[in-house]
Amino acid sequence: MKFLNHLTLGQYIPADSPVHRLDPRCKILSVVLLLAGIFMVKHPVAFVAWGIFLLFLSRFSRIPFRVVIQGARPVIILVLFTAGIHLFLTRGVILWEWGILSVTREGVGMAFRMGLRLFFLVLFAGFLTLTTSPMELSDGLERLFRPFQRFGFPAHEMAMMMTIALRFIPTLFDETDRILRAQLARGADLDHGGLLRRMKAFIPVLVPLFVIVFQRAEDLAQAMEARCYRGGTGRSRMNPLRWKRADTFAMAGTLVIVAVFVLMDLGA
Amino acid sequence: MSIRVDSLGHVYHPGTPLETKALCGVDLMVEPGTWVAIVGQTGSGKSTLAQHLNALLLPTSGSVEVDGIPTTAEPSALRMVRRKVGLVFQYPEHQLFAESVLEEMAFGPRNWKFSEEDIRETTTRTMKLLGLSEELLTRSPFQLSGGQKRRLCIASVLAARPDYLVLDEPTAGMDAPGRRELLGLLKGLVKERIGIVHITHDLELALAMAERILVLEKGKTVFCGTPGSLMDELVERPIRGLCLPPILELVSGLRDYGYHVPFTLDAVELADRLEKEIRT
Amino acid sequence: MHNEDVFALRGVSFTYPGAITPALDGVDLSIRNGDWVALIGANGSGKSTLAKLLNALLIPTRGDCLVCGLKTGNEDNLWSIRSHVSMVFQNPDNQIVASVVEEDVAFGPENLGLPSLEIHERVLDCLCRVGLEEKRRAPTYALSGGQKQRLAIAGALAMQPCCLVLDEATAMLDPQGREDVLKILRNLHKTGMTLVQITHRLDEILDATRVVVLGKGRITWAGDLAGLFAMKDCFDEWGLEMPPLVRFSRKLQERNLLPKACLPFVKELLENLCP
Repeated sequence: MKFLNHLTLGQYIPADSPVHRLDPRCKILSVVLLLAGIFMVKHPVAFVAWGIFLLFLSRFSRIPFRVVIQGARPVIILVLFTAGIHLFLTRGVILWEWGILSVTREGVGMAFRMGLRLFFLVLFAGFLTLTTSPMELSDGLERLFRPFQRFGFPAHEMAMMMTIALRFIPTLFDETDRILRAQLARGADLDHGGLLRRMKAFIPVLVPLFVIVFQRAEDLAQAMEARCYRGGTGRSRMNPLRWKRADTFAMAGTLVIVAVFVLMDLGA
Repeated sequence: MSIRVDSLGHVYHPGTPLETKALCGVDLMVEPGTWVAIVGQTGSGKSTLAQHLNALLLPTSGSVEVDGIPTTAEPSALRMVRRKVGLVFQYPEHQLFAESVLEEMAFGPRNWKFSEEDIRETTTRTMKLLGLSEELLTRSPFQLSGGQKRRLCIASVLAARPDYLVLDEPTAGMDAPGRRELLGLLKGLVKERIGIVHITHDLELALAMAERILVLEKGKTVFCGTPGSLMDELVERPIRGLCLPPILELVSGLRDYGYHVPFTLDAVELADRLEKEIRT
Repeated sequence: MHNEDVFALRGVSFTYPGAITPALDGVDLSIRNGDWVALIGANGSGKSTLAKLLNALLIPTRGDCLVCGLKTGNEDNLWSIRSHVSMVFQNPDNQIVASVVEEDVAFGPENLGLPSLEIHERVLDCLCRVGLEEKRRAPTYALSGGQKQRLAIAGALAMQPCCLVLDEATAMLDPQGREDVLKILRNLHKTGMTLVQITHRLDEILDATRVVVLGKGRITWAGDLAGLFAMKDCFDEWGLEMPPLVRFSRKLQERNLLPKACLPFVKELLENLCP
């Protein structure tokens, strides 16, 4: 029996570590840099270097490596799929052939590269959400996007939306799980028949879920209003973002690491 | 003919850091036409046990048998068990989805491949059993009142003609008249030879309604027996995770003082007996 | 402030948009500072509507609702009223905004635009008052139902209101969670907080100083606990369950075995019956 598993995608794990204490803006920008760096990796040795950096980061942020990997579990299929596509669709020296399927030496290389790139991408991005509470994260994004507010970009609203979305992910997962069980108990058959039948079978799960989401949204809006929420104006913060010296160092460090890795890769 | 739970154990997420023992060595027997209550606090394992009775969860150790069919992953047994044991979750109105009450009622029976004629027959019958008038059939389930929604949900499970009905806090959030009406209707089902498993954290309610009570604490049985013996035991020694209903607390105090009054939830009986005691 | 009414409702009616019958119909009510008012009644009697009027979440369609002397109908008073009167709702999950306990408590004070230091103080103080100080950095989704509701209370208290309105705040909790919440309310009452507690469980209102019964949008009865328990044959009509102890003490009072003034609490009954 497969039920929705409590997944750790985007879950914040509170801890007291130098990484946790960094300014979210620093972390967001660093992750962007790291992701750009990863997209340029080609050489296997560079992958090893990135891997070591990942281990180091996990130690430094006091998040067990196991948890970091767990966070990437939901995208493993996507990773394998990407690798598979490259494995079979890259032209080159043929190693193995079966009907229209062929595996080339270039394909194997590409598959490894793309698969690993995507995997590392998710792991590094995961660090951001693992070490930054949704509130901080949205604060950071709000501040980073504030310059665009002048052009009508709703920075505060987007940030608040994200906070709430992240807050309700676990709740809605539980809810979906419960509805799923309830309909199974009523004899719903969710895993037989063709695609159309299966999609139809999910109506009894989706309709109640929508009803609940709307109900929750209404309740939450009311609760927020009762607590004097009136948008971003006049709102202060418990922990105002403060760019510290550590953030400058971290930012510089990331820049150096990415530059070294990329150069090393180009050189090799 | 009965549900037999035999030294049932359940472990969530085995082998992971989230591993939790939800149930450990629980025995239970539910016969048709009886009302069994499972009482315990949040996290006592009562909801886990409920899902075992309906094969939504399968035993990690021990066994659950419904009319001789063990709950296993084997699909035909699974469906058979789910058909025999109806399960009504907490706040069941959160699973309403159909366009009309009729469609909502027909969902279960259709899943169990009842004939259209049979569906019509069972719908009319169960709606009557739960005090819902036939005029509601064409209405949207979302237009009903809170109490009606609750009863519709129970009726929609009952429409599949299960032999047992497992209800998780069926009266949660209802006011006194609504609660009394629902409990009366459920009592009527027992007369129709349906076995009721009532999961609740309200000890007073369990004592008043059930013929047998199972008290769970942290996944283990701390008591299993009749309401009478539970009351006797509660006064002798506190049972973990349960607090005495006020009236029993009063009885206990009166007895300590030397009055010979019985353990009862019936206020009038208690008053009568106490009067006799005081006058002699 | 002390002699003034926290709430003064004069001929308040409210009809939901699109509805034909009013949810509240000509309600007159005043609540004094420091009162613990239990607002009881059957489902659909208008209790929740009344609660929302007290916090200016709804504005009366007729009549006036004054909170600390401020009229709720006046847009300018809105934020001042909402910082005077905090609300706790039924479903704890639907009032928690943040993913971390302390961030959620901070949400209200942040909206008031308070300085960081004061927010920190308030958060710590309020978490202590509801016994969640150890969960400060815990993720909110991992709390139990009772803890979530306590968190919601902390979030409400962080606004430093003079009154707390609880709309069936215990309805979804188990006995332990309910008792925890009631204990917090008792402590708040001691410190002089005005409480408006909406419920349909009579065993939860045993600390109330005043009881108001609503039925079909009108106030059908108002008085104190002793008066409520002395009422005859109204409980069914009001959609309330008469607790067994009330029935018991009433029977004994009829037979002159108990003084009329004895309230139906275990302790009081035992004191009177076992001298």
